[in-house]
Amino acid sequence: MNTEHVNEEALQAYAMDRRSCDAVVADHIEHCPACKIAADNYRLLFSLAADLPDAAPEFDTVQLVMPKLNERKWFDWVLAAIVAVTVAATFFLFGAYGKYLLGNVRGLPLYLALAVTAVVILLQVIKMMKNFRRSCNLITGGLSA
Amino acid sequence: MSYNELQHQTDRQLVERVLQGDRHAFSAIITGTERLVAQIVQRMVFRTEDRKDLVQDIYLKAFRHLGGFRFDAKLSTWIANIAYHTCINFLEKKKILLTGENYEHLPETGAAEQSLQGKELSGIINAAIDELPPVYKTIFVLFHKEELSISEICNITSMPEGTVKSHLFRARKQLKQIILSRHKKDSL
Repeated sequence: MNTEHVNEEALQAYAMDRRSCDAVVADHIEHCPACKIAADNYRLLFSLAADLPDAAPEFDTVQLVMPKLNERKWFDWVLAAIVAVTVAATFFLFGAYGKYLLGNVRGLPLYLALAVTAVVILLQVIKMMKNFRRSCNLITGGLSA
Repeated sequence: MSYNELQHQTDRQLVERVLQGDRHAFSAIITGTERLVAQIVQRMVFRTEDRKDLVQDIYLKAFRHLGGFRFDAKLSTWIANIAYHTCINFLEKKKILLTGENYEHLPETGAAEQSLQGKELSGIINAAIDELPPVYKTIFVLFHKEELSISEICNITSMPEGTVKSHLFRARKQLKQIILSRHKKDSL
């Protein structure tokens, strides 16, 4: 018999499944009172853990969550309306200053300026969406990716 | 057809129904997963009021991101993953220690079984588990009580296999020491 006591990792492995344990280690544990006690303690611990009562939900989860799903939809519409009103108000209030900003720019240069502005806004929106998705993946640990 | 394939098929049907606007399908998802979510949340978060807010938050996140679920894992594992990370974020905001050691090292003092006879064993082990850091107790319970595989726990916690095994090893060792120390001090 190997006289050197086995380490905690081997004791846990033995307590989990004796058959998957190294024969020399198993032999030592079976013949060494100190290691046998330590392994038995682990075995008792594992069997007690397996027999713990099932976790019971403390509240009616369906009742807790389902009304909030509808609230969320309502919230999304309100948010969309606020954004739309803000954009419309900005154009209404400051749209008149646009001609001062652009001066006498007409025709192709005007369309070019508008196109560049639209592309920049579009790229920013795409970047925001990517960041949002990355945040979602972080929340869900990448499983939804 | 294996159980896993059947489970995946059910998950797929439920998710598709929710995405088509069937809210009852989502309540079926809640009913099917709430016990596992409760196990994680109850182990990680102490206050009932906080747990209530977190459970609500977990299912709202699951509902919002359901379209992104790729069926790479079981739906319950995916929702457990959201539950775990939501709890971790909550605990980090509260600056609560997630892992570590907070027990004294004691020598083995004979098989605990005899000493614990006649006592409320599940109460003793439950109290001892509650003394573990949140990550340790969650991993321990998922493995030993819920009988999830290491790979499923990796999916839930987003940790590599080696880290999960290391946390599980430390959780078992720490738990044994907690029980032994209580047993020695209080003559259980």
